[in-house]
Amino acid sequence: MRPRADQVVTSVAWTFDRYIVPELNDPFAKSLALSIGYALRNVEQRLREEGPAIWADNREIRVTLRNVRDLVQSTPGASEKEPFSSLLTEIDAALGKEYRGRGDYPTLESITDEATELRWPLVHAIEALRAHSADFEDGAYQGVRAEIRDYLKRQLERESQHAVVRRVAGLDSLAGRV
Amino acid sequence: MPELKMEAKDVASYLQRRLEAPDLTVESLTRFPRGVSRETWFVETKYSEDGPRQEKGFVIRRDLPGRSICTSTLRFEYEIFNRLYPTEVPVAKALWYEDNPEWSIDGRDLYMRELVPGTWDVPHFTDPDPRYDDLRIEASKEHVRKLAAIHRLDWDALGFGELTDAPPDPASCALTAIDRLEGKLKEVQIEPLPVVAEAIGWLRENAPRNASAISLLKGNNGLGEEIWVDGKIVAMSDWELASLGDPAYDFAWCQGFRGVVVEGKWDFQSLLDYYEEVSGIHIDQASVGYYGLIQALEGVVFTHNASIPVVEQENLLARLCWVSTEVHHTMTAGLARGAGVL
Repeated sequence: MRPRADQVVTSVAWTFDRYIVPELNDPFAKSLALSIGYALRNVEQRLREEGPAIWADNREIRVTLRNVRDLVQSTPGASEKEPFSSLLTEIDAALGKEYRGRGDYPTLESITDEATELRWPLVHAIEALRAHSADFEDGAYQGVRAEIRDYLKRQLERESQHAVVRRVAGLDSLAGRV
Repeated sequence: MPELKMEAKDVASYLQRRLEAPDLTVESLTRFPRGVSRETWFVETKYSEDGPRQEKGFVIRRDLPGRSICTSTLRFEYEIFNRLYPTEVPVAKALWYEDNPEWSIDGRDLYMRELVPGTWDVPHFTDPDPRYDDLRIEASKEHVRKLAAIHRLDWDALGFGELTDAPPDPASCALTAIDRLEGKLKEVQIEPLPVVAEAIGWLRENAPRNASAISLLKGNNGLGEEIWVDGKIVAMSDWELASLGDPAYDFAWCQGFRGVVVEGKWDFQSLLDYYEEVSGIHIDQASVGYYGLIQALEGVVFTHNASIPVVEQENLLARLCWVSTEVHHTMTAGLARGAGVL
């Protein structure tokens, strides 16, 4: 169906800015209108870019989690004790889960759920590795830590492509919107 | 679903009952348009109190419908005002806290303050004309004097230790702030935030241990957060982010005044030097830089919390969507930059 959903949102935001906002007099309504204008642009960008970004992210975080798993499993005694024993179980569960049927369309909902389940073990891995760094051989530990930080950088950079509103003519980003 | 609305007749009826003033009328009721943390309403009334009818202004504060998105409770904010009123720190008088759903206006808790006349801005402060350089410096000094008054308070004697966690010693100030914010995040968290987990680890490893004092901190402070009359601060507002810790943290906030530079006369170091002169407390610029990241963490927690009313369909205000997405990302990215992830 044309226009696409993102084009409809563009149209709604354009109309809202030009014909609704100038008619508002109440300060609270004007302030909310500004927030709505930005929220609409945010939705427009997410419609276009969030799906591919999360899809790529899910692929990369799997590599990072496997590296964490390898580090723990290759370190004598680490996998038998907490918090690493629980962490390995959590990583295996997140990596092994089927988030959609084979051949099913990867809906935004399913890839978001997948991202959530894959990111929890990464949070716990970050906390556990930092708290128990002395348990690991330094070179291997630093390698995995660097890999985690690289992944986080790429994830944030991808997210900024759709999370930060950047196409609003005549309005300064983040200025006066609250 | 309760809404962000308040009717003058309901406020009149509430105040008539609460103040035992049957002749009370509400002359005006105005919602403060800015801010996202809580609702603020200004009420102008007329009623008889020991004599002829007189005008009296009030401020009503309450949480947004659904739940608070602040990292502290409404009651906490009220108690801050209550404890500060008798001190030299200028604040509006908190009148009462209403938690009786039968009495309150729509079932939500609220508290009342006296309305302090004044403005939130300083005329010409942002006018780049050099004619206003001295005005900018004087306003900065006035703000610093008020911060010094807060930081010099005997917070223990005033009971602030009952309201919020106190660091065990000055060296632990940053870690106590991280514990408080990480605890709050874990309490409300509805999705994993690996970047924030990484940044919290970095903040712990790089926490300054050189705080000169443990002080009551205002949190959100600076231009737009206080009430001014004729170049003087007559009331300090917005105490929802108050805590106990390193005074350097308040300079990480200090909006508007941190950026005042008058060539050869004044800059941020001058502000800190003047603060030391009036407070006796030394603050390192490096600590202020570090606390800028604690401020970002505070923002991450707050903006994440703002997503919950929308996800749970308790409050569908569009501003919460924007705050919990774009603003949240911006805060997270700032934190990541400081922690060397970006």
